[in-house]
Amino acid sequence: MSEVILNHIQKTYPNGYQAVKDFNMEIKDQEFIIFVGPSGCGKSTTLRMIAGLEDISGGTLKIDNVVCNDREPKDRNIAMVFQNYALYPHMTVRKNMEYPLKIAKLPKEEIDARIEHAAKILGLQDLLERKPKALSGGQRQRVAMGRAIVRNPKVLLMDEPLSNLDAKLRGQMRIEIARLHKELKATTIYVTHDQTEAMTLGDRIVVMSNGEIQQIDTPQNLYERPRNLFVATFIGMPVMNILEAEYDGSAIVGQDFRIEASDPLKKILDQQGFKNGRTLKIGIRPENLRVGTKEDKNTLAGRVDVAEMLGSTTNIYITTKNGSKVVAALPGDVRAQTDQELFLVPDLNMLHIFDAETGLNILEM
Amino acid sequence: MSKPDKENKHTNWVLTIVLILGTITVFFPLYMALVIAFKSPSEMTNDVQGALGFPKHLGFENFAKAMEVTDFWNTLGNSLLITISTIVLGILVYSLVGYVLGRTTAKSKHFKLIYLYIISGMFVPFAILMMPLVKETAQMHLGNQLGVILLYLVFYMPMNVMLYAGYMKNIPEVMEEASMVDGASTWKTYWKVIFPMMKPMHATVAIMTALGTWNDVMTPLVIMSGTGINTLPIAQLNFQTAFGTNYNLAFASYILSLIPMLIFYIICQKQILNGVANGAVKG
Repeated sequence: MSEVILNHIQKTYPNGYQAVKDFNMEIKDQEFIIFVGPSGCGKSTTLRMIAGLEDISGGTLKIDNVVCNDREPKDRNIAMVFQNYALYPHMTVRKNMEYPLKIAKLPKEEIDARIEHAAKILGLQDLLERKPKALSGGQRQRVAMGRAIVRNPKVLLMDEPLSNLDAKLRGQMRIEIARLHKELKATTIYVTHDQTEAMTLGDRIVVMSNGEIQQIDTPQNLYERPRNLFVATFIGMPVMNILEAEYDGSAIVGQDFRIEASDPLKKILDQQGFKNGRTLKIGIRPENLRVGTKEDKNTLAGRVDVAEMLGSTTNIYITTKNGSKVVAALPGDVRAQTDQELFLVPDLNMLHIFDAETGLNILEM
Repeated sequence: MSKPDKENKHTNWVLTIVLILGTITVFFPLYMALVIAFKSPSEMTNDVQGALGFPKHLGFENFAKAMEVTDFWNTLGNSLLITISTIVLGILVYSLVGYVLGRTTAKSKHFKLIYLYIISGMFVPFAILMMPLVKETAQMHLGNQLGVILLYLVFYMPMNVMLYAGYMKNIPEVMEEASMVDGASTWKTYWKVIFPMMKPMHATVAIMTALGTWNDVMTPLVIMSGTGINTLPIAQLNFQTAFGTNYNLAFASYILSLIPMLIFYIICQKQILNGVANGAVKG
């Protein structure tokens, strides 16, 4: 069992800057957890605290039920893959992978067996005698992973391991990592700012902003049921459309639209006192919009600014009469001309409604 | 496409002339030393031919005689012992100090002060220290090779620690972090990861220290005087007498003592050229 428990973890730097504020989480054995968020949100700092590369200012970190706050990295039984690989340049691939095993004083036969196994899994058999400078970016990345997995660590930490690779290689390596996790079954914590990596790899995702956890959930739940405006706009590409609105007792009314509220929604809005002029924010995912006509109800009308043809989809950006910007992800065969008038119809079942003041999703409270 | 290529091929005459002058400045004295080393004293006439002309025959008598006068193998042994010991111990000590200071001066005022204290040693002239050092080493029974080695280690510390501390900026901190996560102690990280990655700087420090110690006359002269232990440069003082200097033997001896340094330089300069950090991290 390799559980990681983070209990009220904090990181405050000597200058008073709080990089991580009250981080609470239980990571289950064999789980693949993703820390995602914009630059400076504290995701890497949290990972480094788990690794023992940063001191923990407050709270308790337990790995495998042992408090590890003051343990050296070498005493935590973890392995880490760094963003820029951090391969030892004077050692061959074999020596790089041998290094942690020799320190652990494993017998030679065991070391050889583990290296052969890792090399086989990662397709490094032919590269074992090469030095890092003779490897491509993807190969170096695989060596870095190999060095981490040969140790059979309790917890495998990855700090943006694919961010230095080109888009194609990143896609391939993403699949490799998913396969590797299935095979090794190691508890894995993976930091990224790439939401595609987050959504495709993670069992659960931790969305962070300003050192705080915004939501911990499965990829699907994050997408379908974001807890607040930050998560709603961070997850999903193109970004969710956010429009200001008010509730008049029977419908949600914005500058460019009027959406009749269903009875259960009315009940929630009434209960939370939105009738008294409190502002709402309506979230509509671009993929939940379709092209309609003037006669359709609840439409968002506007003129086309840009149409991006992406092959399988076409992203169309419109500006409404009142100046709101809306983007719709439409099927690839949809064509639109600049300045053409367009009526977009939202799927009312997929609406997200946020309290404008707190940013919280009132349907998920 | 061809135009820029053509432009690139233009000769920069100013630079070329400066380089030619530089080359002449280096090779002219070397040429003079070589031809004089092979000449007999009778060929040393007071004209251009005497200074620059080729020797009448290429014999090694001057070299043999110079080796005899300087007790060559003995003095060479002393010079090698002092130089090699200083280089080996120096690289170990300076790199360790440079590693610590290179990583800590930005984060700690105390280490910054220690760094500045060590560096300030560069500005203390040897002449001021000479007499006290002679007395101290004599009292501590260090008026020998060991005393000279220890003094060299101290004298070359400021410059070399500064070089190593500066070089640490080229080694990403993530290398140490990776090593620590791999289970290594700080010492092991230094020895197995950082020390090998400092190879280009080891070569630089080795060359600079070697040239300084190999050619130095003053320190061994004052510290080991009266002990009968000579290094090559001290032994070469024998060519200067009150009645004149035997240039033929002196230059033959200088050429002989130049050879080990030349070989050493050729070996080390390859290491300087090879950036050892290639491939460590994504560039």
